[in-house]
Amino acid sequence: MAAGHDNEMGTKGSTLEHYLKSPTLLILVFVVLGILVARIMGMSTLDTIMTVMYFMGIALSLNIIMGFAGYVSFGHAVFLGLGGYAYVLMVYFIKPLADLQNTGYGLGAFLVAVLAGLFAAAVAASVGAAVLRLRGAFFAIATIGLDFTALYLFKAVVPELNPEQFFGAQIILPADRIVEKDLVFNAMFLTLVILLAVNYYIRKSPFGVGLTAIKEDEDAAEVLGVPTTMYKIVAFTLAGFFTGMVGALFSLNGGGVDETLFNLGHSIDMIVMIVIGGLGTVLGPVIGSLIYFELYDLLLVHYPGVNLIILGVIVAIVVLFFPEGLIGLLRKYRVRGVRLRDVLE
Amino acid sequence: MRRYGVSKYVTGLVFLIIGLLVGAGIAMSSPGKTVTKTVTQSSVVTVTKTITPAAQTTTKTSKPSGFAGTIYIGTTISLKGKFAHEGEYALNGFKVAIKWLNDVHGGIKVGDKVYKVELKYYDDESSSQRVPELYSKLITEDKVNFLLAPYSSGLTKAAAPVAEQNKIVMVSHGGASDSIFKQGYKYIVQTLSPASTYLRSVVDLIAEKDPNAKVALIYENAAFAATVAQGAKDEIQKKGLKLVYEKPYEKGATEFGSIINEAMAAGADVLLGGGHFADGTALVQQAWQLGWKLKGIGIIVAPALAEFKQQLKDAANGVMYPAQWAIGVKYSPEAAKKLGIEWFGPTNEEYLELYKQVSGGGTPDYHAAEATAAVLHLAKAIEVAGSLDSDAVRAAFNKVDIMTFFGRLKIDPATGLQVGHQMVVVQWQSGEKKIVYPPEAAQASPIYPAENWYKR
Amino acid sequence: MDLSILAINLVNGLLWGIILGFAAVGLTLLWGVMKVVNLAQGEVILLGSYVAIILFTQYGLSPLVGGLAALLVGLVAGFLIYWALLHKLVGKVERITLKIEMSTLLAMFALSIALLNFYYYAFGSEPRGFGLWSIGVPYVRVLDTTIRTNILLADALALISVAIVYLFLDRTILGKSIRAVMQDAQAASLVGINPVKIKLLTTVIGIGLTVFSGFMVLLFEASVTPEIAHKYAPLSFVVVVLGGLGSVVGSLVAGIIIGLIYGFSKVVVSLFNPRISDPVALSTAFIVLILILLFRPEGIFGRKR
Repeated sequence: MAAGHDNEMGTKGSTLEHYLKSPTLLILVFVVLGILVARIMGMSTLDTIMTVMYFMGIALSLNIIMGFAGYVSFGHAVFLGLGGYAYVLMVYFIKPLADLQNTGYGLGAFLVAVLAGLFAAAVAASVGAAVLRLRGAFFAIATIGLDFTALYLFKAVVPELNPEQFFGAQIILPADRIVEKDLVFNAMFLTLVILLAVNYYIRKSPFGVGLTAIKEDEDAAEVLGVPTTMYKIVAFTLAGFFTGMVGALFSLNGGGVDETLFNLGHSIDMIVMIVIGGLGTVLGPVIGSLIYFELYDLLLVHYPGVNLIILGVIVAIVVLFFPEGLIGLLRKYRVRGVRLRDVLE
Repeated sequence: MRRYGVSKYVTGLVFLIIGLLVGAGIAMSSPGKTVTKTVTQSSVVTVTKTITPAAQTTTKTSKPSGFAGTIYIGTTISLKGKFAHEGEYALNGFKVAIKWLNDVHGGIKVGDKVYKVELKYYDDESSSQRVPELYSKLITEDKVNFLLAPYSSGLTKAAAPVAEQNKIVMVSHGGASDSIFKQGYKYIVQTLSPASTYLRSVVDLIAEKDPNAKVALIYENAAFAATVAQGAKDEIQKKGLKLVYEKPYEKGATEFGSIINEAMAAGADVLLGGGHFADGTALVQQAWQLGWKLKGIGIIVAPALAEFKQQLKDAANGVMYPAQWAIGVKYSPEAAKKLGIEWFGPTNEEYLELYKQVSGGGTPDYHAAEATAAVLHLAKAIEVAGSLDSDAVRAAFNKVDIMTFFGRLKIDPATGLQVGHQMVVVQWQSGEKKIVYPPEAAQASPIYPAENWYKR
Repeated sequence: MDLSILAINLVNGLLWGIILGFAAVGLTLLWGVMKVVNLAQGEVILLGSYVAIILFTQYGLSPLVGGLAALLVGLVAGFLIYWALLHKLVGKVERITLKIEMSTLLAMFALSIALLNFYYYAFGSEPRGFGLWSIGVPYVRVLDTTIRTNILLADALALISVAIVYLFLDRTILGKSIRAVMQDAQAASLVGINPVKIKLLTTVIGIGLTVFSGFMVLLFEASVTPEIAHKYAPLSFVVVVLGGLGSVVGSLVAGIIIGLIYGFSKVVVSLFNPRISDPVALSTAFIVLILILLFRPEGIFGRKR
């Protein structure tokens, strides 16, 4: 199993030695520190940092099922929507939760977001048990179907919950139910750190090895004794859970939610970031989301109007010529005789 | 296990540095890094996601000296996406107001000082997800003093929490939905008539002409249109008309075959409803093509735009729409005097002239007028408050009762809802828009039943 | 239940279903023969709509000429898409692995981002169409319902096209080779069929038909905005899965089934709450999709694999 050997290696040398040989963890720590420094020093606006964290969050969430297990969930925006609606409806209708979200420097909002994430995870687990029997395009199409089913059902049900206030499916949080942006930042930051840790852990664990085996050849993995069905469902549920949490905090940050959260455009964002960065790694989505964020801006400033057309072309070029993404590209090279694939994971 | 030797550490270090750079990259990704805030130039370049060419500054600098300072008003405009139509008009409307305030009025008088007004705006691409971020940016980075809401109820709702959290007054010019003002927000005020009153005058007109009218209410299933429909339903009941068919349709629908057939089967001879431009146009077009014999047609939003006529040709004739404002309304300083309230801003003739200059020969529609009126409304409140403090200005709004080219402006003190302004009814007659209701504002008498629709 | 309301909605559902079914024929061929899922389906459909619109509004040509032009542009577009995107990924490959399938998904997906935003850039988000143009009288009365003649024209063209495609696949040598590759690519190449040629031909026909269907979609919807891509693409997937991969007739029948389910559920839901009938009816199509995928992934007309 290719993915496991770094782990064994670490036990041989000292800890520092190990991390220098394989600095993925250190890079992740610096990314997290970068966010924190930017926040504390006030180097970027809160909203810019929130946007970066949002992008990184959705990319890392989808990465669990798409990057590691190779199942491309094209309708993954459904969990963004489920999490967002779950959160907003909870604090709209349940007073104790509305009070809770303002407590503990953002910990309260984080806890309510966990509840919203659990709702998304419950849907992911129950649906996943069924649709994960499908492979490839069929799975992708099924998730799109799931997204649209949820979209139309929410459009039908939400206005009926409070016909006086919810026209269409848009809900805006009343003035006394919104949360200070600083607290939302804290909650989102905590979520992102956990998400990074989970991604890193999966990459290193037997679970991650099993998922990689599923990606390479599912039938062979099954024969080798990997509990493929269980692994896939767990991965899909985790991906749904974290996407739901990010969707919840994203909606809280915006002070409300509407049906555009189910747009396939959000799935596009997630997939493109992972593809640009490189599938099946932890660094891929992190770097991919940063590149995507900057690329989007750069194109927007210099080529407004045609920016997304160019983005489409770039994605096509990456898929056709660099199918492993940026990390995959780097791993092919050697620096001073060392293959980068042994350093980057 | 192979031995890697020293070079492995070197590569590790290289990647450590990359990690540092990535971290630093996040820290440095400040959207403001290339912002240039010159008063006369309109070149503010930014590097945040979601921001199109960048904040642009609109200024007219005929009086470079004599101002005590500048009042910055921030907003987002929908230059792309589904509200691109309306956005362009709104932008020109803002520019007209700013030009009038700076050049004609001589700046906003705050106490004994005179301030110049400047607009800062971003393109929100008609997306409710872009709006909150852009509004915080306007507040925290561009340090605007006051806000104007984005176009449409949906986007206004998205912007409201940001204004509220930062305690900055926001004037709504395109967010007619009533429910925004029922959420306990303290800093939003409305310049235009709320959605629930939109079709009221149309229903009144029909009730006067034809007490036996059988109405079909077909509207977009979205915040704004649903509120309009609710208001229309109340008025239909009040006036004793018959509502024989009611149907909300999905956002973005352009095929109305079954809905129109159901309405025809129900025997409806008056069509009321609509939503935005695309669906409203398609609804009328298909009602025409399916040979629906209608006495009266009242559609919101779509018929107000010139493209409606271009697409529908003769079928446009007879179609009525409620308007916040239309070219030819008779609000004047004399009318204000009669009511015993103050006149503020340009007259309607001056307004058309200013708009022509600003837009390079264009004519305004009601989206533009709403936008202009919102800025005037805000300017008046600032002058009454004699302060740039948002709380003082919000309190002053409660005292403002003025007449402008747009009509009377007066808000409900508790909610901020507009209660002074009234809708007019406009009808397409022989390819021209004519104000037909209420009689005191009318340029022509309404054609009812619409001959070309009913007798074909 | 008011029977005339039921009739109106079922007739409308049938007329729409035929268009839906035809719009998915190109998709089903590409998917069935080449295992390529065209995620840019909605955008490719719109290409045909916009070609006809440009010729009508800019050059004053009859919409019927525009329809023919849409077909021709579609064939060229198919040729370009094959050589620019698909050939590198699937051209020389005998067995399509999951990895290759993912790559094609992502490639077509990239095309969809680029095309959709090109439409926004070039045409804006306003509705565009043929205005009040109609072939002959604007409407006819059928049963209890009034139907625009443009819709009847669209349905007639769709049915004729499906018949021609069916006969082509069933009767001609080229068509038979396409079906042979669909059933067993390796065996087909053993009997001397050039797989690259067949894949190119399939792409050209598949994309061509999809673009052509954009003309029918335009006639049906009366006007289009770029957003309509997001309505027709997912529904096309539903139709293909329901009808069975590669089945032209299955696609048509599945389209009609979806249209009728839509019309019927709208009437039923209206009985309880007319406000929510539209979104619930739209969701039924996707519930059908998930159920079919779970219980009969080969579709109603597909053979068990």
